[in-house]
Amino acid sequence: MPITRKMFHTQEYRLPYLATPLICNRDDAWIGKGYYFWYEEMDAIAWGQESKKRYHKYVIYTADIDFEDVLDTVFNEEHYLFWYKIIDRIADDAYKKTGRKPTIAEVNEIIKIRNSWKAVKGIMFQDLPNNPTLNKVIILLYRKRIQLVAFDLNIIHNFAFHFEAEC
Amino acid sequence: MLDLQKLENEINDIIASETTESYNELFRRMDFLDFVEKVKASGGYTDQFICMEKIGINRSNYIDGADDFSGQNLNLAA
Repeated sequence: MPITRKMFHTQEYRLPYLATPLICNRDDAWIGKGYYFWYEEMDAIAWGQESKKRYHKYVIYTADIDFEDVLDTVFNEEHYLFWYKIIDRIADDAYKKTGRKPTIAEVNEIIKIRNSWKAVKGIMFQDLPNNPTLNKVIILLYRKRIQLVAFDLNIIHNFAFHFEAEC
Repeated sequence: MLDLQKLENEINDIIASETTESYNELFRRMDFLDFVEKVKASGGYTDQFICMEKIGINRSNYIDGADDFSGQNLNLAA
């Protein structure tokens, strides 16, 4: 049965409210061009407060994400081990041939440049947040900070305004 | 449902076709921002970015000796 998850999209304040998410198309985006969503509302809020200061307000949107063709490196063990192996393999090859470690943006570009992985509609991944205001235990990074990058709008459903706030 | 074996085969094909030249060309093309700026703009490791700023990135081929080592040639090969 396909899994759908409700996730959160942070954008600067603008009217009218967005009807679809905005694509992050910077060449140096964390894991490639795509529509970025947070797994937890608190991370979406933190990102709004941190990154949208110049707009003085930010907006959180929600959407239901269809995970049928998403590489879920956070909760799916098979996907995680696959992802881990693939990134290592690319990094090892790049280092072996150039003597230089690639950045994540470069690894992503190596995959995309060959127009490969068309079947992958999104990737869910995590990092370890060390923002002390969001962790309730000192030092212990027990909470995952999880994001999804969606490469295809068709996996994003019921995109809607959630709330706006000042930052 | 993703076919992981098919995806892995595609990656193996990519790796097999990459050369030193193709990697270096890619690195040059992606080098419009320095590493710290890439991290800052990534939308990801903003917490770590603060640390990265403090640590700094040594892009030279030697490390300048600190004042404590004045008089000694302690430039280190990177």
